[in-house]
Amino acid sequence: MATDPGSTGRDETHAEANGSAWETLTPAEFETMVTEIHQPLMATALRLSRRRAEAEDLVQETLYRGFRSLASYRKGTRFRAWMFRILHNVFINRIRREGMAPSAVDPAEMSPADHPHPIPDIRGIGDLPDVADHHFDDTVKAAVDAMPEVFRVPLVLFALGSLSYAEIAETLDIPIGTVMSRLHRARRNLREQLTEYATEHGYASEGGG
Amino acid sequence: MDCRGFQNQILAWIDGELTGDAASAAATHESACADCTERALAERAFEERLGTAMLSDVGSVSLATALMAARERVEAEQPASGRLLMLRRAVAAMAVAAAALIVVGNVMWFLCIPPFECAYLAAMEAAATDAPLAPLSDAPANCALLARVTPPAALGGFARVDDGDFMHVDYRTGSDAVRARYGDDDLAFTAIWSDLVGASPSFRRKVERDGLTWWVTEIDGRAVVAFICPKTRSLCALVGEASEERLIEAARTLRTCP
Repeated sequence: MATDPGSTGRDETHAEANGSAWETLTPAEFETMVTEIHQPLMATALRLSRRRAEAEDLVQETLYRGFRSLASYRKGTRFRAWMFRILHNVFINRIRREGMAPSAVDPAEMSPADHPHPIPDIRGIGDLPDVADHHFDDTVKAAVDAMPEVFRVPLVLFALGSLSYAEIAETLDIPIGTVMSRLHRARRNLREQLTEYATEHGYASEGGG
Repeated sequence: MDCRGFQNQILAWIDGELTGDAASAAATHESACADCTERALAERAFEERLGTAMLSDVGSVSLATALMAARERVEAEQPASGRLLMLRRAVAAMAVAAAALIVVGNVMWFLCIPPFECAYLAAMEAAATDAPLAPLSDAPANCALLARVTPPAALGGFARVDDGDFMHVDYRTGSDAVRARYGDDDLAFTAIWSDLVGASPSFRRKVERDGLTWWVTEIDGRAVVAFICPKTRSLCALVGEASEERLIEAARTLRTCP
């Protein structure tokens, strides 16, 4: 998650931008760079497919396509965004092959600039559950997995892939305003569910939110 | 920017997606408003906790194994791609060679370059030396041809020495011809009127004389002079021991005959 206000929180963009513009990666460089993003890549595949075996297949296919397409990657462009775009393409191709129609787009999201429902004040949750609280983790994952694809995909690309709004828009081939709208709704939904969870489990502080 | 404006944009702000004036306004407000500062901190911590939660079930997946499998799959494809590329190149090279052969062959044929000697002139030369056939002894079509051409009694000072023969001139699909021999005290030649219509002059054998087009060549030491007969629009030829110039002179009288 982005933690540094005023910057994108996606510092690789600038670091990688210093590479030579027209060079491509060697297989060894590719393997090194993949090591750095393997965990979020796998987590994203898990959240996209919602099944572990399929997620492993998605990552495997993504690595294969990355290897095969090394010549098309140019040093200086963001490796992470490139790989997550490949992962998303693999996922979409698989959905199409299996004949699953993508989720319909909610007309309400067509006015991305307006957020008629502001996100709830997260301070209502009170102290955040400990990282060892697996039940909270499972609740978060279940909430994400239950989301319609149109909201789930940009959310995981943002939260796990650390892609910027613009990179998500490019990956999904949708306007950036739509990305903002979908992210807003996904995160608001997540906060509402987790506030309920916090209330039920005694996390919520009185008077918060 | 007031608290409401800040809170409306709080996600874009903590995501680092605000730029320019919007970013400046958010930064100014956050530094001046304790409540919004607290809320922004809570949002950042919450987002971080969500990220941790979503990563919690990744477990231990062997990246090395996955990478090795991906690399081996790519490498396994490469030889096949290489063979396919070689095959494509071979096919392309053969196609280019075939096209070149066709072009060269056509050019050689058009220019009468051996072995593509002008076939119709060779046919005329062969017809001139075939054994004589009895007049009017052949098919009615040949009689009609004889009636049309009516071989003149003399050509360019050479007198006709016998009656016209009927010939079959081998030229592609075959064509019929009437043959008459002419001569004087020293020289003799054969004039052939064929029903071969549509012969086109070969560039190499094409000769212009006084505004008239002739096709001339020499086959086995005998001159062959051909032209389009003005009366029948078919190919005619003079073949004999005379020089090319004398044959043309003899043919000119035939060609200008009304």
